[in-house]
Amino acid sequence: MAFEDVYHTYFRQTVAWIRALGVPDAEIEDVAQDVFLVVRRKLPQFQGGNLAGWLYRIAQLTVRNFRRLAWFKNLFSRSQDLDAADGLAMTTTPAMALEKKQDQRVLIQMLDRMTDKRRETLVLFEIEGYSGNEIAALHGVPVKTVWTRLHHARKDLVAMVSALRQQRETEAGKP
Amino acid sequence: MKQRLIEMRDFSDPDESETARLLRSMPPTAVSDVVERRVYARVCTPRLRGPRFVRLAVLASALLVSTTILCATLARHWLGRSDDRSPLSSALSVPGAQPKRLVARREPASESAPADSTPVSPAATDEGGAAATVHASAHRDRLRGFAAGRRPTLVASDVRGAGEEPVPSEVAAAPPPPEEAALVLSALRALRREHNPVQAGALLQTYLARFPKGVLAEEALALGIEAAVAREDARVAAALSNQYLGRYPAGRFAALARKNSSATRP
Repeated sequence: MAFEDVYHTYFRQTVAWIRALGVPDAEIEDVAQDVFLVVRRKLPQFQGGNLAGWLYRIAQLTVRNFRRLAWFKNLFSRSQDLDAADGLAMTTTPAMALEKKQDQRVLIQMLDRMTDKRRETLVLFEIEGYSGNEIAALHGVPVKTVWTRLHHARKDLVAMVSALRQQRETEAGKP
Repeated sequence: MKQRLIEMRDFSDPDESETARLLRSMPPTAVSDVVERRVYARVCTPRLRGPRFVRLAVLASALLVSTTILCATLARHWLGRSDDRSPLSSALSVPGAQPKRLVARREPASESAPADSTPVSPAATDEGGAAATVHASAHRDRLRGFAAGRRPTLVASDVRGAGEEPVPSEVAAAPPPPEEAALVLSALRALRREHNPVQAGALLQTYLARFPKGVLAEEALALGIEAAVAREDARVAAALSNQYLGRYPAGRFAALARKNSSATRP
């Protein structure tokens, strides 16, 4: 398979994976570029088989390197505020858009506190619309493992939402 | 097949409902064709980067240079500190330290310009000679201090402290004879470089016996104290300290002598 075909077939999926791996929206394009640079270099060595899984593994490793570099960058500069809603189309009223933006920010912060595997499974299933079988193929695990991870991810997320709700109620009850 | 939270509508738990609302706020990834084309163009355009080994070589060179500079700086710092720790180093072996001390003391003497002062010829401060013996270098070290202080004449009263005994003019006018300087420098070398306080002590005893009122008697006594302390001979150290304090109560090494004198020992 030629690189051009791989690129046009998998680019959008790769971007979704990179997002599921926890990269901020502002950095997704650069990380995708790095992923496909690796793909272009290593494609001749690909033995065949699960191409999506192979690409997903490259994306995972690239995101890991990106996080390492980001950690060093944050040592010397102010940490970037994750602003996932900057590209949001303002199709609704400003108040609704603001509320949505706030919800996205809260969700991103909660997802950041989850383990990588649970977060990836949750985002791919709930947000990106992948099926359990597709996620299993990407991760190279049985489907039951995917459901287990999804169950724990939901449980973690609901617990965090519950804690946040209680905190808000406590703050609202204060004089 | 599990149902997605974002597709569910009826929740018994308000936390689950709130979780589903939060998840619905995040739309699935949407990538425009422009972004896809842009990234493709960047991926297919060769980047202006050298081969990996060139980058590694540059990085390694930079690391090596910075490590060398750091080591040199630290070594210089530590060596400087070890030189500063000893007053004798400034008196005998560190040419840079001598001018400060002598400049500080020379002012009154230069105003009263004693008649028996012997001028030092400018040729004497010339360092271009090839003489590399210990005697010559010790002699030059002394003269170099005066050259650096831009002082045209050298008198012994400049070198000695105010509370010290007067020095005969024939000794004061001349720099330390090579034989004297050689003995003291040999002792200094034995003590500092060879770490042999026994030999240093013997050399200094010889010096003090042969030149009890020599130009370097003060330095020899102080060095003798240091050698005795190094070989843990408290009795000799106390005796030399008492002798030093008796002769130079306000001498440059009085602090060292007081520290080791018998009066301060239990």
